[in-house]
Amino acid sequence: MEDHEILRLFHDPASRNLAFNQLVRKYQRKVYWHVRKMVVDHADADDLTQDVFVKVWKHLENFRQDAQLFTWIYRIATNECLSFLGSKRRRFLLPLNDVGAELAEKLEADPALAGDEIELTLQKAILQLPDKQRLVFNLRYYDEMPYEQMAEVTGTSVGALKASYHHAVKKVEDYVTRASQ
Amino acid sequence: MKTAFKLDAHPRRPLPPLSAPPAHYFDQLPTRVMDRRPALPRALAGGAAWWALLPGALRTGLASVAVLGGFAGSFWLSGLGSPGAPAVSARAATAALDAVPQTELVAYLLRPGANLDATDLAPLVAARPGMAETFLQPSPAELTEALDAQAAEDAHYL
Repeated sequence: MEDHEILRLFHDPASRNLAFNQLVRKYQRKVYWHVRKMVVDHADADDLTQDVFVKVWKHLENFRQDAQLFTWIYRIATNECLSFLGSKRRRFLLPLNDVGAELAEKLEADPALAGDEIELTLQKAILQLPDKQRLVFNLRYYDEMPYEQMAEVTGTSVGALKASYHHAVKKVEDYVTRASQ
Repeated sequence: MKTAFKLDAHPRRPLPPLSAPPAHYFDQLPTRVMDRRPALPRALAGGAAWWALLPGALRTGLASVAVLGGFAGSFWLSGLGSPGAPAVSARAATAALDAVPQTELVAYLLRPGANLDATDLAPLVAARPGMAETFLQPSPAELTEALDAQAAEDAHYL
């Protein structure tokens, strides 16, 4: 179902539930993996994905369609992830790298990465990036999102995003190179 | 010595190789989300729905203007409708008063309970000096006697 059709049905109280169900089904995988890449752990990703869609439910009536629906949902998901990681850091008074280390431990425990040393090292390198830079890296490297769309999601200029991604790639390459020697 | 790692040379995956979510996770997620939804606030009536679409700052500004406008309007309307407000111009009032026979005016002013005193008459004397002579015509002795009988604070008006 197209976004405009979902929105049209959502604004009719009689078909609101149907429209929202369709919206969740359409975007759940993208939202889940966007969140999962940031928080690594499935249980956290599950909670956050549900939180994202609950927020979408609450605010969809006021969605102005200035942006694409998916960009808007991505922005909500991004903010939820950054808030989650920030609150975790504040709750345990952790420095920046300790959250990365905790996420790296979860990575090592993930059976999907067992035996793939170079991939595990790459994932650890990505986890060393600051949250916002990691977000930029994920959007560009994995999702291959255009910079203009990334600018809408993150509220950052295209130039700043290009510079951030460039620095992120350099940091990742340096980390993997050092770890391999 | 190993060569430097280059991300472009590494096979790109659409997703990081994390373990997949549990089986049927995405089949069940919509139902779990639907169960967690809070009730939406009741939709505004059609005429007021536009209000919800306005930015917060604009809504605050419009509400302030409406409140101040309400005060100004009620103040203006109360001025128009109050019983003490002059309904006719001063010139029309003077003309109407001139048409009243003098005997009626005197009878009105001398009626029981009028409670007129020198203070009420003083502005008239100041505006038209000598007007009292047209109906009082007192002798000098009577004037002296009357002045002597007045309290000092009333006497200076005459």
